[in-house]
Amino acid sequence: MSTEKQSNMRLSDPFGLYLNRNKSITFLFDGKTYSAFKGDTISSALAANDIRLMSRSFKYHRPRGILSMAGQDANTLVQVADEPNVRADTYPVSDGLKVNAQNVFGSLQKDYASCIGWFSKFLPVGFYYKAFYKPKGIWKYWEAIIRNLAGLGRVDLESKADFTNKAYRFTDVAVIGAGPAGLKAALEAAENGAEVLLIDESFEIGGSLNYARFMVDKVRIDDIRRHLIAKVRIHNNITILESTTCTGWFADNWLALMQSKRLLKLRAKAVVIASGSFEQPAIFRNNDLPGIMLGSAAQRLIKLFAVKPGKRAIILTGNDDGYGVALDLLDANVVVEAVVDMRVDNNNTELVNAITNKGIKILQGYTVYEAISSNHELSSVVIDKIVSEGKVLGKGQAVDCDLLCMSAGYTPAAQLVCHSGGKVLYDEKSAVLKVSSLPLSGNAVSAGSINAITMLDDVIADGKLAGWQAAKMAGIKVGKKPEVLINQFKQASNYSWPIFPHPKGKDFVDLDEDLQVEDIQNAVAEGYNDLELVKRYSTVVMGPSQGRQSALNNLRLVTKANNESIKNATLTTQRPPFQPELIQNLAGRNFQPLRRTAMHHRHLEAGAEMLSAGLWLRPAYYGKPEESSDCIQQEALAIRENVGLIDVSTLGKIEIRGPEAAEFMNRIYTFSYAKQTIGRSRYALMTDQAGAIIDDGVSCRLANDHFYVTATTSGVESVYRSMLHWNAQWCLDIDIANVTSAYAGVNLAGPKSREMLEALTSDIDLSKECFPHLELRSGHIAGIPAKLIRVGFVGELGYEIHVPASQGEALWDVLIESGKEYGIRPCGVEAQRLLRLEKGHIIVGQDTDGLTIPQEVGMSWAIATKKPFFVGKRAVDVLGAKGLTRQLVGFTLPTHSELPLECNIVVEGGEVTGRVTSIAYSSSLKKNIGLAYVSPEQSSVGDTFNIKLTSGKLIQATVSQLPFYDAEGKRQEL
Amino acid sequence: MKQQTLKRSFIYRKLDVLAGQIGELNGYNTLLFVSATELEMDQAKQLSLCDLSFLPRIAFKGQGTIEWLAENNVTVPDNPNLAIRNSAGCLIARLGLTEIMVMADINEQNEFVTSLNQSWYQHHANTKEPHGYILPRQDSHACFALTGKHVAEMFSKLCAVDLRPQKFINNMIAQTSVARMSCIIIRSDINETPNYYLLGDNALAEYLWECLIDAMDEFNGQIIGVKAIQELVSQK
Repeated sequence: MSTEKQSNMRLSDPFGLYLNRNKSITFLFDGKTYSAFKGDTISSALAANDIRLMSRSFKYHRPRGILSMAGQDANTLVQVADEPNVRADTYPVSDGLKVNAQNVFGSLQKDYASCIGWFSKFLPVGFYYKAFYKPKGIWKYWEAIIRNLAGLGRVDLESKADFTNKAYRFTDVAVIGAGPAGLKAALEAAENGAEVLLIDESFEIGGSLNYARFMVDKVRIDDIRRHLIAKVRIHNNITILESTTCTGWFADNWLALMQSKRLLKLRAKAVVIASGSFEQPAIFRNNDLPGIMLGSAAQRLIKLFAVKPGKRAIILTGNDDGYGVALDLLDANVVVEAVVDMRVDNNNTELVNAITNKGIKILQGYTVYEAISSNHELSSVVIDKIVSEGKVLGKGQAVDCDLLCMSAGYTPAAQLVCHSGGKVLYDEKSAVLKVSSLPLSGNAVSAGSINAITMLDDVIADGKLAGWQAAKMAGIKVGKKPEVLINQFKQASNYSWPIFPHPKGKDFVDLDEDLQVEDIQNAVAEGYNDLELVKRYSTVVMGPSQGRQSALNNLRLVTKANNESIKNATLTTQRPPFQPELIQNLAGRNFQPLRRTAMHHRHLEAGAEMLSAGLWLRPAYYGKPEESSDCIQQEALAIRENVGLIDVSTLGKIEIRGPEAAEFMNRIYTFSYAKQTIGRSRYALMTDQAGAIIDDGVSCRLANDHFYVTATTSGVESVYRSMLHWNAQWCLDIDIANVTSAYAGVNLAGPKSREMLEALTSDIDLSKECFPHLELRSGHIAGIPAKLIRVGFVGELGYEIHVPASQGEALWDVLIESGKEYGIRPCGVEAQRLLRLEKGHIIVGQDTDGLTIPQEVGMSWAIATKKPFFVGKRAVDVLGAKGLTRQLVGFTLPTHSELPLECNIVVEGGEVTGRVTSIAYSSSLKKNIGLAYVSPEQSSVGDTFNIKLTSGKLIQATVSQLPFYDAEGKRQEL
Repeated sequence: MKQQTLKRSFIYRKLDVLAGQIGELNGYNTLLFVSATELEMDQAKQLSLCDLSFLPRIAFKGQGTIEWLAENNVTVPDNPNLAIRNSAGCLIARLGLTEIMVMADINEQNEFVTSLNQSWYQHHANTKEPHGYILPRQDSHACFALTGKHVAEMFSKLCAVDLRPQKFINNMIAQTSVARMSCIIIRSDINETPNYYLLGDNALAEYLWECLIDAMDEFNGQIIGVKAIQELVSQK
């Protein structure tokens, strides 16, 4: 490992706005140690060390270096530790940072895969669609090779998942982009009383004021910058978010703001989009060599990072800004050989004089036609006279240089505008893409160079107007509208055709994908002539830069190849995100609500294995998983022989109160409730309009005008919603309240349950005569106010006890403690399922499906046929009258039979006639029992039918009388 | 720790492990303090979380509610999603056109709510006139207090409603989703200290508590006992 000192490419103060020269750091690039200052990015630090070769291209492995110095291209993608495709232009260096080139075979200097470029003539656009699919099946072999050669970085599949927090933000006015327009817009909105959030992706606000040369007088630029920034920083109404990228703009001004470790979800009443514009390259042979960069990239290197971008420079320009670049290079002691202006003339005499006074040659009507490399870097350019659109005289002259700065024009950074319905159109006169409409949801205004306004004073004026407009849109009582006059004719226009194809190619349109002029022309020639088709066929604008430097030139090439007018042409669809996003930021914190009963921790302490039931956690059984079967059987036997305690707090609980409560019950459930006695419970079955069973529970009448109804654990929310929905139409005088969480519940069941409970209550007579089956009572259990319901779901003497949720755990403790002498056991859901199966009780959702009508599961008894109406009545009547196509039956299997699984099918003569819905071994009955749908012809007691096991084997089952256990129901009525 | 009280907050285990002072309030074992009350009062001004599940509360809903409450000298806010404090120090929160929740003063605790509860049942037994229906908010919802100047910023990680002090002004109510669960947020400042009551489904209380602890961590939020809140209220 060797250490290299920073070279003389580093400039002294006052250059280097971002740098803290008091803090030196070292980092590694491809194993070599380099020094930098705090504030440097990877690219600037490498450039300061005179490292220009930073990556290899995607397809031909061509050498690449800094292009935009703004992270807007794929030229400087690197690997940082586990993270691939890091944008070196904007990634800060830190002490000990390990950076590597990616997509390299051999080394960055000697990449063996660069030989692919020799065969580029044989690898035209779309070549892999044609070349690697014959013979049939061969693609999968080629695919691995091609993906390996064209890969970008290395994903560490072992890296640990991390999570980050998202956060919501709110503001009156969001200003996206803190350049001169954004700064002024923020100030104006804030001064009118709006709360402003100013968002910028850079380390510091200022935008182009921090690096661009708007005019010869650089002192004035600096004054404007200082003044604006200072006012913004101290304004109480303005919050600044630096290093924050707005990656998406969605309906109703929902903005996604991405920070390194957080996604901010911003709601803004109004938005000022002042995102600026992207400088555009020119196209000529070898326009991708390290040393060829955008003029603004050179300016960023000089002013933000105090780095000399080269030693001997040529400027290729199509507008006045190239002249500013030349002035900045001169300030940085770079030798400027010439300003090559593609335009025939330049009317800006101030700029022309400033350049010529420095002795710099200006070539009007010329272009760079070819770049020549030495040791993977730019060594000279061939300059030639333009004779017509895209054509040169052919008498070019080579000029030595190590830096070529391109300023061919701009395209608006309008991706965000397009995300939510805005549009850009090509203005033929100025050769500029312009924002033609803003997002459809309104309350948005654009400002600055995104509006193709480039003169600094006009940019600021445009920002001022936008800030006032946005404040007004946000509902702020604004002051007088600023009087702003912007002369559109003064603004810079683009050079209309900065494309100079070369017979030998390597004239790149899209550097991300190594696409040359010929590739685009060929795509059109092959019939993919629509812009969207060209994009998909050639992959132009689909790379990491997303067309920032290629979309405009591609548009020009495609329209020309199609022989169409470019007037009002638009770009391909722009979709979020604007910049790559970390999936962990999108995922954010994992919010997964879990409902726990009051007794939850008692279950855990008792060794329960928990299962999910909707959002609830319920004890499946108490014991080790490997002993689950024994545990379930023992728990079931405890209820059959002694007493068991089941947590039924998860059951839904709904209160129906009001003068018309009974009428409501009659309409919403299938049974009859008008004459239900106070103090008595009744089964409640609910069907939907199609007659299908959707829930069941128990209706308890507490008073004439008060019903307390239970619902299934996972069904209560939809039952409650359904009740609200129906009563919104019926307008009955009732109140419906979902009180599920307000009450804890247990089922104390077993022959010893009464005896055990008698010791704990003094205000409820538990005797059979005074508190018979299906009755309910209110009183106290060990001092806890409780409702007791005598229900028989598990088929034994039992009490469902409902108490205030805050006292659920205390009730559990008392019952467990008092029950010890009776052999009490806590019992889980699985034992309860077994016990109800022995009783032939269905579980809605398990033994029913979305089409099951009551008659199919033997529940005709739960339908009050004399009622004029209940939800689903007509469908139940019609479907029942048509005759059933299936019937739920109980069945038994031979003792040693292999057990089917729930949902194993019932077959008859090759036809599927039903399925198993429940299956278990019953210790009480000492046989395998189950429920299954069968055809009506197979449903008589004693009939046999075949169940097809998962293995394909058929076993025979026999239809059995239900219930399997205690057919007369004597045990539950004890 | 085996709890002896019959009533238990759904998150009492989270409080037991803090090695603070536990005391009985309204029949609940409650965290009184973890460290010195003065320190916890200072913490309350920054960011703190306090379990107030013990705090007596009751709700009434339906036709006749507002009139019946007026007869019982309970003045309600003019519009839904607003709260006021009455002379007994109770928070009267209007959750809907005809839905009112009454939360006891943290220092008085019981009397007003208990008497209101009794009055309703007496009235219910003696009249057919509409007078609303009682809702068991004491047991359906856990109640936490979040205090301090960082509360709104902390909430921004969990809730999509703008709860910043300048927008969600004192006595406003938001019935919304917090960490994907339905919650009621009531801003009821204690002197100059921002104070937000957060009420959420009891069965989700433990989940909500964990989400809040996690969200507070970034701002050095701490769990505090009831005593600090009581002291802050007493300083009014």
